[in-house]
Amino acid sequence: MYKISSKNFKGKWAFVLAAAISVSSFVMADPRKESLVVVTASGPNSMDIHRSGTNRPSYQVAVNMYDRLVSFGIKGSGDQLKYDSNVIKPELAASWKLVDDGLAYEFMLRKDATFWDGSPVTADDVKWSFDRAVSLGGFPSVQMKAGGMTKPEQFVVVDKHTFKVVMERASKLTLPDLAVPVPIIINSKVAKANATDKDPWATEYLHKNPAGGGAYMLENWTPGQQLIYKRFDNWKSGKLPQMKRVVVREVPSASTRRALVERGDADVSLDLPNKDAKELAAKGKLTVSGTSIDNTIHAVGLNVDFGPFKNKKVRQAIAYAMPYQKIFDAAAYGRGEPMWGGTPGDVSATWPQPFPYDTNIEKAKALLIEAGYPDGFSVPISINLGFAQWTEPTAILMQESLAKIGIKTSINKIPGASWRTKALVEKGLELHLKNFGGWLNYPDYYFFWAYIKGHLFNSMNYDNAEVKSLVDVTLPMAVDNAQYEPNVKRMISLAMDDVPLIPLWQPTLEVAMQPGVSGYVNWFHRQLDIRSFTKE
Amino acid sequence: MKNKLRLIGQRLLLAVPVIFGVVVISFLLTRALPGDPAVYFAGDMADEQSIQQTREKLGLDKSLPLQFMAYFNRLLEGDLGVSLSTGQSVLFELKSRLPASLELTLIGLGLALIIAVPLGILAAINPNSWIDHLCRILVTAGVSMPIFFTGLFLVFIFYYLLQVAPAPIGRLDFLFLPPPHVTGFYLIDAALANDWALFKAALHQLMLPAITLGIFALAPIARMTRGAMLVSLGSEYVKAATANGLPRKKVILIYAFKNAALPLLTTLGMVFSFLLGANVLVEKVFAWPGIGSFAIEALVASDYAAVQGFVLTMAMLFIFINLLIDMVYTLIDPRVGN
Repeated sequence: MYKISSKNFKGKWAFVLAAAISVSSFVMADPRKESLVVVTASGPNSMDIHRSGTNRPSYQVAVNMYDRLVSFGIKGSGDQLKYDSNVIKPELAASWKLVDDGLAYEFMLRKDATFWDGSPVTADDVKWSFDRAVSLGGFPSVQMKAGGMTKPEQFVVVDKHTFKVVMERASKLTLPDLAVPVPIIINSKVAKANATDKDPWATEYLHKNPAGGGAYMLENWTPGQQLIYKRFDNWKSGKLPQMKRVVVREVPSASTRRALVERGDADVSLDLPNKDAKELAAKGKLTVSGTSIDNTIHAVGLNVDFGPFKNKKVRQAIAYAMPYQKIFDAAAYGRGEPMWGGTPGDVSATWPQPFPYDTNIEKAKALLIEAGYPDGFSVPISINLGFAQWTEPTAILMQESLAKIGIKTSINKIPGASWRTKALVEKGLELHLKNFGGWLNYPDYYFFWAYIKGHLFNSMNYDNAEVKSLVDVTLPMAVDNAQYEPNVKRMISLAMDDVPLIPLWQPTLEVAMQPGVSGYVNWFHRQLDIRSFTKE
Repeated sequence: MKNKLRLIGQRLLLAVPVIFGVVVISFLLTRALPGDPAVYFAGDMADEQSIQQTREKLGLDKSLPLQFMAYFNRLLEGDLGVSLSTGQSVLFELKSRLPASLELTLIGLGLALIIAVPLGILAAINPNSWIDHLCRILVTAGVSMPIFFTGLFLVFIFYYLLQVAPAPIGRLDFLFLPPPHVTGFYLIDAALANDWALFKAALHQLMLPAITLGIFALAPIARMTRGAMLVSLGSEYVKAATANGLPRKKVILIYAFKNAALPLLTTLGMVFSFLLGANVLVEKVFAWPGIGSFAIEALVASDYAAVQGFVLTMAMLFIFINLLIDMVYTLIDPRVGN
């Protein structure tokens, strides 16, 4: 009796299972040559880079939808393209010159440039936009300040198409700072029409409605899902891009992103983990672009406020105890530039460069004994869980290696959000893994942020009077000044000898593309610039 | 009936202090989260001064009671605040993300039910037969395989190798635009708009993530059905019904299953709530714009408004589901409400 009824059930069950599993044909992605499908880990949360709380992926909106006065050149060949920090080229400004005894830049704007709505771009728009960047506070103001721009009085409208930036003191950083994503040129007429008394800079409006004159316009934005760009056909500030329509879709899982680009449903996959980049490059079916990020290192920070780390010899001992090659293989999958094993005494004026340390346990032990810690000590290694992909394997390998010289460690995992407070603001982490990159590619700019007491990225609390005075003098100095190179070499030598920061490697930015798709450029801001893409 | 209505009314009234409690607790708990949102949102290059500016802008420089008053007042006006991490109003996020999660969860749960209940019943009426073993294997596999693994595995087989499933890129393929917003459920909205191509596309996108969730939900449901059925099949009223010569089918479905449905319903409520919260990993693998990943990201960023909005919505939903289950209970179980 049971058998009869169970057969009945079995029949139904089999049918349902079959129905559930049979997933029929699917729709192919748009095959048009002039459209590009990009998948990325996370997308923008605002269309306005000046707004407080705007995330990193939103910088792509500033890059693609807005113009700046100037931009950087592009170097490299084939699929390994990179911005060139040594070349500053025109964007909205057709030309510029130093005036007022080298204390001001005068920019001649393109006379034919218009915003998307057809209205001409004038010096008034530039002034309004720059005033906004220095007045809103937060990130845009800090970035403008890095180039010596702090108040609206520094921005002067000479005539309709001539605009002047007045510097308080001549600085090599002012011009490159105008090429970063922050000083965008906004359509001030549209913005002012949507400003209110409470919100004079139209932050609410521009947050969701871009108003610019950049190469791409907004077609559609579904926050948290996708952003669709369409080309602005009347763009005058550069060569008209090939792609007419670009879809940027958010796909959080790295494995899914890889599957999408391997299957051909996506043209470009951003934010590729090093492991995938290595494997895809070895397979050779896709184009993998992986170039190092300028002025950036993954490093170990030693907080000099922590007892044993006060002693330089202890810091050097740790630098000799690092299992560099193992870390580089396990955490970076061999992709990046090694930052160890430099020749002692051979210092160049570039940053980053290999430090004169290598894995040498005997030397590390000897240094610890000299420093008065023959039995070692205990210290936690703090890591940022937001970057667990490299921090976790690195910390485990460090733990193993430090144990050999008697230093007992535990791993302290800190969530991404608390990291900033604990590492950068409170500066209370003894031994920690950190990453910092400077947008403006000068060694002295890196030192300004990372090696001066009290500055945000000096989580090591390193304090050296000579480094400070060197940075103060060198920061505004032109690169061709006779003092520049000796100064930079001296500060780097001090950093190598004092080692509050042990560089591990210079990371790369990895992107996979379909064959026939090219033009990905590794920018210092690490975000997508779609203007340079081509597709066969 | 009057009794039952009064019971339901009492339950609804009971929900009011619960909701207020949730409001207070979610407010206090979010403040206890590690991390300083002002530092986080001031951005990469922020210095002391700009962090302070951000803090004032976010209203975080005021005392806790003042912050709570401001929050509660806005809440009464239906304003849940703005999520800092996504840049959108919390209400907008919940309105677009909750239906996405609900649609996926309901279909996943539906699939699980269609398979697990018959399987559980069959396993119970044929103990130690091959179908009982199959049930055991499915249950063990479903519970022990991590949900993201099942998801990635299905993507690998059906999308990457066999190419029968659509690209795992969220609710719709690149080609389609979402249907006009009515309920937020794409299947329903597409049907309402009479756009069957869109309906098909949305259904295709749903299949793989729903099956992933279904496999996970299968285990507790099949297990519970089997156990409850075994108990009721061994009970005296089933023996009496069989002895009275009632048809086997009727005995199993009406006498045994109806009684076994009570514990099953309780399990179902729990599984549903669990799925809704726990499908973060499925959302990540399939790029599904659901509420789980929104909540996790908000938590990580100490995004107060978003976390509070999420907790509040989930609490309301749980209260509603429990109420619903209680009501269904009164319909199935004659002992309740009298």
